[in-house]
Amino acid sequence: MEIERKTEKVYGYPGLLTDRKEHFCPGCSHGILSKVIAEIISEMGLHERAIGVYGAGCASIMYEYIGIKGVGAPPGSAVGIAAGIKDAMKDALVFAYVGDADIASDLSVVIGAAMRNDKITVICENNFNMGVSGGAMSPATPLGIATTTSPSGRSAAGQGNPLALSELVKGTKGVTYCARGSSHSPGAVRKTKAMIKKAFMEQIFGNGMGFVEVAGMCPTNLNLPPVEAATKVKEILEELPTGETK
Amino acid sequence: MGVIYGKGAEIIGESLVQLGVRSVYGIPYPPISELHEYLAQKGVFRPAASTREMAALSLGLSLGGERTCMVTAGTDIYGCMESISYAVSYEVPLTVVHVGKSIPGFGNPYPYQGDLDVLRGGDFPPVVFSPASVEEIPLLIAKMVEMSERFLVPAVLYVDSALFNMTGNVEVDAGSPKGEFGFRKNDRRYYTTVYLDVTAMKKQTASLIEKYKEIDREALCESYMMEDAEYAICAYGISAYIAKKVADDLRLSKKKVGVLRPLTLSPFCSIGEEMKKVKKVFVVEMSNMQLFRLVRGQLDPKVKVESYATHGGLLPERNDVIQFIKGLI
Repeated sequence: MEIERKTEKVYGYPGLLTDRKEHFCPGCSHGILSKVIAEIISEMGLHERAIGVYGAGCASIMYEYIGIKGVGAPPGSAVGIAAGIKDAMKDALVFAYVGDADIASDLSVVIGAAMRNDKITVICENNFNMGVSGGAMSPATPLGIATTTSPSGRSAAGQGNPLALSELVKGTKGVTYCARGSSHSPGAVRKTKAMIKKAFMEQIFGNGMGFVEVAGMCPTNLNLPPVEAATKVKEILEELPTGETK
Repeated sequence: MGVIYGKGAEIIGESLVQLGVRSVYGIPYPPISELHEYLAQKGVFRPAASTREMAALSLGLSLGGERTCMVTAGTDIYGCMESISYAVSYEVPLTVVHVGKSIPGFGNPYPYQGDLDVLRGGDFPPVVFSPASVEEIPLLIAKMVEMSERFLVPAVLYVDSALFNMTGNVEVDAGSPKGEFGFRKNDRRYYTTVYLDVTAMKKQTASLIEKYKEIDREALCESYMMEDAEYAICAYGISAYIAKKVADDLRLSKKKVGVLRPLTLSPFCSIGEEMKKVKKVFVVEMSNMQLFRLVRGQLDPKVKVESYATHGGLLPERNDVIQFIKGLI
């Protein structure tokens, strides 16, 4: 008796990712997030309306990889540029994709957008260092972590306490959705994907600004193999709770 | 459209409204707050949290294909130079109304022209227009917007705080057909300034150099009684307004004095030929000889050039300039 075999494709290379080889280091979270964002936009059928504004840093040329309209922004300005584009193109789905050091270099652009209740989405990949600078300390680097500019490890007395980005942003009324996700495990990535989707929905429904911080790995600058870098991020998150905060 | 009586600030505001500007982001403080107040009455003003945010928002509007304008004064312009450079590289329009006030630092809100070198700096400076009367403002704002959209480069209206506060009956008819640019033009998937491949960077720079050669041909200059002039005054902005009065007065005492006024400070008009026929050139300005150096650099070394410069927010006094010139001719 012949058995009829039916196959159904349940997973594949996201259609919105270009075929260009990504320049990210092995184990870097930017590669994971570029795929997640491409999947979400594709699933929501918004690829023609989506515009990504990428902050300065390792991911500043992510427009090369996600096949939607994009802008490589000046340092610290991605959120402001995204808000300006949204003002000009009300029907567009506009998001800023920034790193922890980039967003902290000018928080006024986030505060301003929140003050005006701008309907944009901000995705902040927090890998706890300035990756593109070769591993310099970022404002979000946790205490004890050694970087090229805090070689003995960050200390409260030496370099000051780290900024908790989500907690800083959620206090503003214009931010109507705020969450911290992670990319250190497949389960964490699935939860993060749901968060980013919700943040996009906030924009689509015109509620306000959605802010998703995503804890990420930077194995190269943490001087760790990718798996150990993911474990390190999990450790860091014991001090920084994940989940929806608003 | 029509004649309105108002201060320079209000004339600028009305011109922007007539040009179809829908959003102007900014931070109101003296002396530019009056312009923001006018724009707020028209529903056009939107608050920004910092100068840098204003610059980013304005760049975002341009990338989104929307006409906008930044308003800055004094040292604010430094916070906008990054966006100006990015606009050059993105090839999107970006316009600025920059009010010249006394610097360095905060200084005071009184008129000064100390930002000339800043605005003209770098490989690819913005196109800079300088009105010399309130009546000229609508015309030059429309020209600024038109050139910015035609060449896809930043452009600045550099107006000193004297003109910003002067009143006049001005016909404001600053309409200009809006160009297609940014994502609305739909000819590019993305805008970047990153060219890690030096060959690509060289190609982009070469293309910009060619564009700026074309822009150089758009330099504008006004000659006032220069036909038979033996002496010339070179000045811009409110200093040129005063210089014309000085020339009128000196003509009454049979001194053949004319005025050469650059309307565009960048590109700067070629004045060498016109100045060859005069015995002496007087540069009248409110800065530490920035215009003097620019003019001196263009002229034959044989042409004598004298500087009359005021500082601290003081206008060149008409009688003082007359006495200065009389003492040297």
